[in-house]
Amino acid sequence: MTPLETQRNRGRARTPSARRVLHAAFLAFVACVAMAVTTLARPASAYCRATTCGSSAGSSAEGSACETSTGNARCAGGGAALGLWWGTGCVGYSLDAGAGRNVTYEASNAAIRAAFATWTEHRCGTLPVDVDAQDTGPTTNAVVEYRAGGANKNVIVFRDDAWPHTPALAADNTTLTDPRSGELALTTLTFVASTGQILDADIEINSAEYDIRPIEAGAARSGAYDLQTVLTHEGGHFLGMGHSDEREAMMFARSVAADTPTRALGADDGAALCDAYPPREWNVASRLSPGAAARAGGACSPRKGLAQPAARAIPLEALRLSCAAGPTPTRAPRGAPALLALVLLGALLARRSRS
Amino acid sequence: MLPLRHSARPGNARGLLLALALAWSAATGLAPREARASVAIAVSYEHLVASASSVALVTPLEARSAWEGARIVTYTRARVDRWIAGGEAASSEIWVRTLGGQVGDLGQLVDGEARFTVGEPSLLFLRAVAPGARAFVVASRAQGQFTLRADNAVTRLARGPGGGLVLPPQRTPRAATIAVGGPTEMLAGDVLDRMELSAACAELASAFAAAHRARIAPTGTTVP
Repeated sequence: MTPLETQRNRGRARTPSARRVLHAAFLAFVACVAMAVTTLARPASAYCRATTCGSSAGSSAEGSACETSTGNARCAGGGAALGLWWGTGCVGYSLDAGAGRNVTYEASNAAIRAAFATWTEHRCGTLPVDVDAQDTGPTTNAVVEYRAGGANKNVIVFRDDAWPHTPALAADNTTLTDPRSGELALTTLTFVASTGQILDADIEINSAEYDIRPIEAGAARSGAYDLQTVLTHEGGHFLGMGHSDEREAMMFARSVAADTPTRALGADDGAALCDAYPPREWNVASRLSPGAAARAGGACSPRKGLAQPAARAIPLEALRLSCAAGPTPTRAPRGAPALLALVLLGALLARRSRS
Repeated sequence: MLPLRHSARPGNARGLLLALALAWSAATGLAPREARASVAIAVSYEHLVASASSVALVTPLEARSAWEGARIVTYTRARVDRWIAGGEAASSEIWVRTLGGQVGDLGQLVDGEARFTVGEPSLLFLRAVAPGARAFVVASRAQGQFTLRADNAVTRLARGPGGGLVLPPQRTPRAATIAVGGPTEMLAGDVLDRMELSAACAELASAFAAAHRARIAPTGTTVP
């Protein structure tokens, strides 16, 4: 071997090593860019629970505790942001016996049952969430109200005749071709401000202005809105859930694309629910959680509803009001697929440059 | 054992797998995800402008909650910093009525309603509770409220804190051709979110005048 050939061989021997170093550096760079993109460009996973803040006159910046995961969330006015929660473990509801103009009582009730079951059958790990919602039968007096001194019902009512929450337009406003309110449903929660305990929840469905009925998945568009989808979202509010920043969540506040029935919870919804109604493992001696005991004993919110606030069962400091870094969803981070894609892209490029 | 054909060499197979994995990852990680439903319908910019009786920049001064029948409502007194559009320019203060509030130790929460913080200004699409009244509601609730935020010495609009449970408007194929503004109309939140305040004021004044020509034109004037 001539000195020149030896030199060439040495050069060849060093080149693959140098390339490996370059490839590794390139992959590391791609990974760093991917991590930066996926962590900085997207908001943190953030479910929220409805809180007492939304009711504070003059200081109601947020109705949801979305500020910290430390349990010390504050309202804009400085007061503690207490998560809203049912203290009974089991909540009863009554559907307006007349149901809606476009849907029968039976079909409506089936949609409502399914909507609530989506939430109450959720499991936190292996244990069931500690809240239930049960049908307490039809009501012929579906009044949206809370009577502090009397019995109450949690009613679900179709507004067939008129939607009472939007003032009429000026008679001479002739340019508005669609004078409808744009509201499909409205949930009103009444609660004890000092504890966050929910006393009453009523859902109104705007069937006066919109066609809201059960729609099968895959059905052709008819201009109608899916009743179960609306009720699943409202069921979340009924149970004290706030909005989520996660686009996959049922409680995501803004929808920008889909108008087909979507009735499943996202991981973020489940995390919020488990935060509000965690399984009560401490009560294993009785083999029943408070919610399960209430269900077994038929003690769901009585037919006439709560007459007065129940005694607080949970100390305030035990109420976790977290958003974001609260109970972590079990799925992979949202940016993981994109990160993987970029790493694989880097690997492909590296292979090409080697060959 | 059959010899491997050229196209099935291990190196190429790995490349194919990598390509497939890449495609899958890109599809699941970067493609738009299906959005979830909500309880209100996204309001278009044109609809919001047309359905409001005025548009104003206001700063909340105080709020009072009270029972109205079986409901708690809150009246927020607000200073009008600027009437952007509408015929109530003579008023320097208004009351804005929202559902929910707190009376004593009882609170009521109506999700999707506009929310105010004393001292923090908002741009509001207002609708008189009754014709000529000085009390207003926010048109389309939270969708009709935009807060202000500073962005490099520029003041921009941002969606209101009340959020909004919005679905895209449903349109049948036939309805798409006759819906307000047609299928390409822009949603109010998309138009105004992050818009510079001064530009928004000019745009809103112009859009409001166009939308309300029929209402504000002198009697006898023909309005198309």
